[in-house]
Amino acid sequence: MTTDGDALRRTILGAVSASRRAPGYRGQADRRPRRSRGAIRDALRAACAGRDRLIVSLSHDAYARMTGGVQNVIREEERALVAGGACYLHLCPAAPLPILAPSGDPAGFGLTVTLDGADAGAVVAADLLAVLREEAGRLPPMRGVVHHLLGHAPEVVAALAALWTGTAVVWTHDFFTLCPNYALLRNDAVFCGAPDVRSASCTVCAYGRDREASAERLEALFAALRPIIAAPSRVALDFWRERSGFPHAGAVVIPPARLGPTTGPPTAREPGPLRVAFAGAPAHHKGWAAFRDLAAAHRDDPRYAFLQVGSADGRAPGVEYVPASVTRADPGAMTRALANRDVDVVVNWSLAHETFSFVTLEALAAGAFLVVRRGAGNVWPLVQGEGGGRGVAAEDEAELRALFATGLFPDGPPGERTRRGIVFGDGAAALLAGAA
Amino acid sequence: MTTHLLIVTDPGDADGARVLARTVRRYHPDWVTWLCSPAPGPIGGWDTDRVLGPGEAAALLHLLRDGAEQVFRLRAASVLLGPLEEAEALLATAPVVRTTGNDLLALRGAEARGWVEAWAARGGPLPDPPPGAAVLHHPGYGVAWSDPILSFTPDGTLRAVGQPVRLLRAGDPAGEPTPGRTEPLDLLRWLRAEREDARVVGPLPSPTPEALRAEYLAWQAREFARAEAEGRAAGGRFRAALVAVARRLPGPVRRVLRRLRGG
Repeated sequence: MTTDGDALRRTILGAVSASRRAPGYRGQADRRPRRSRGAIRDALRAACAGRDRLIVSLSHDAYARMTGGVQNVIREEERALVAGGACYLHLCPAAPLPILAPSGDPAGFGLTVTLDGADAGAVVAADLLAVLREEAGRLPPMRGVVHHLLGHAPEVVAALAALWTGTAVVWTHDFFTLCPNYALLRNDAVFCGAPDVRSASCTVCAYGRDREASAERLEALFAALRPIIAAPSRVALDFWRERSGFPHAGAVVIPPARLGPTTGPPTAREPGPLRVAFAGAPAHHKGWAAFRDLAAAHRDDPRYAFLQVGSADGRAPGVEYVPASVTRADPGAMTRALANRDVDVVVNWSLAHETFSFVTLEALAAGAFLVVRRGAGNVWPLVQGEGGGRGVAAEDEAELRALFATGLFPDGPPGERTRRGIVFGDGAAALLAGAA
Repeated sequence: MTTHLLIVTDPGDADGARVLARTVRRYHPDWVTWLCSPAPGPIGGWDTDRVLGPGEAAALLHLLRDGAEQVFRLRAASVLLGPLEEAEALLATAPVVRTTGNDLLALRGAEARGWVEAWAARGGPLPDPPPGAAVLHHPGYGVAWSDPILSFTPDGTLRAVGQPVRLLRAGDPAGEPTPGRTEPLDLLRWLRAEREDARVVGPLPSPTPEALRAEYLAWQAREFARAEAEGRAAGGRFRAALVAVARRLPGPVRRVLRRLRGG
């Protein structure tokens, strides 16, 4: 436990079940009139004209209007598949929830529809299912991909999947299929590792009851789908397979992005203190407390200058705040901010089991050296792989503090930085474009 | 062999008894649970024919004379975090088993009944156990939720000095944990939430999948209702804060705002 005792205390004692947070999502509900069966049929016929397959894709929100890692993957997947001749039908719950939808009745379940990236209104799941069944001979063959199940009813997903040809693909962008707390943080604070749902850890966790209630429904869905699991990293896939035990036909690792070519000649480092940054949201589970403690311990140390780069100011003494908001229009904002402020070192002390870690990739793209927690899921493997080992991993905070006390670079920091671009993948497009 | 559990409540702690009963049902769904109530009369969440009158010894004697072969006694200010398998194993070798702090008492057979008869006749607190009784020395029985020796292992087990916690003292959930560890905070949050939920819970259903599903949906409905009540309260506080700010505005500004609102 860090010295960030008050914040941690507030987090744990304030943790409430996903069920209790659910009413807070009502304001986000899509309340538009539901489209008639005739309108759904006409829209699908028009969209599928001349296409060789219909991809049915599910996630938790309308990806085309939202920003985030999962949404990026869906967007790129849609782009690649549509370019390849497919029609991309995306469905998300019309009433978002932080858990599975309580009812599996398709007659009472609303879906927001996006067709080839364009908003196509809202429908009742039962009507969409009826049209897809009626039009099975007219529409091209359907393939299915599940990016996220948040807010969905597994029973409705299974009914849709009964119409799909080939093996469905289910992504594990995070660990929602293991627990409604998809970062696997017991009481929003400490990584729990998804133990047995009847363990003491789950019993005392605010998410325990919701997890127990959803496990059986998810197991039934995986048994019906027997999907191919797509994971953003080997670490995430191995962890998911070890902890879920859900039936599946196969598994594949598909990184959502990679480092691209260099974006210019190496830049020389200016003399001065080592510029050490925290990148992203100043949240406890992302390691903000550890970074803040580090900055406080070295506040008067001439060897270091501390910065926080992100969209929210953590307001830590001795830490300069640099605003940077990654949006759909500006996906490179973080990398650019880190590079423009000549950040030498990024500390990524995430306490979670990161399935990919975009922020690590962004730091590497900015030419920074990474100091990371060895146990933070894919963070260290990403530094070793994409980053070519341009970083160091510490086991715990004592080791982290020792690294900074003795000095990160006994022989002096690297004299120059090489900046690289980030190349996004195209999700599961290759799998879905294949025959089965 | 059917195991009967007697939960002894302190005056006014029916909530604690319900919390304990729910945790017992999780790990021992086949146990028959009784309540030893300090006052006669119905208690919410309990079948009245499972509520015994005051007097721990008299209640235990009632169960043993009624044919119960094996009886456990727990106090309401405690919860289970695992099956009481060590106590059950020890009870197979001794007629009376107790823990060092008397958080748990377990009885079996005629010898135990004779001892309880003598206790009931004499009255008073728990007497010295009979010859052949066993004391369960296990750090996971009767440990307090705030004890800094508690820690979670990667498999989700809560351990006390390396042993799994079975029976946790849940008293004083309004208390303050010792800073420095997350486990007491996790336990404190859970105990508070369980007691809050126990205040409104209905009768304890049998642990069939259908009953558990119905119980989950009822619990979820309560969680929704609490969230909405909290939202209303927060809205009320927000409005009150706005009014307080508005009252500090200069008179002309207040008049303009009133006119804009149409008041």
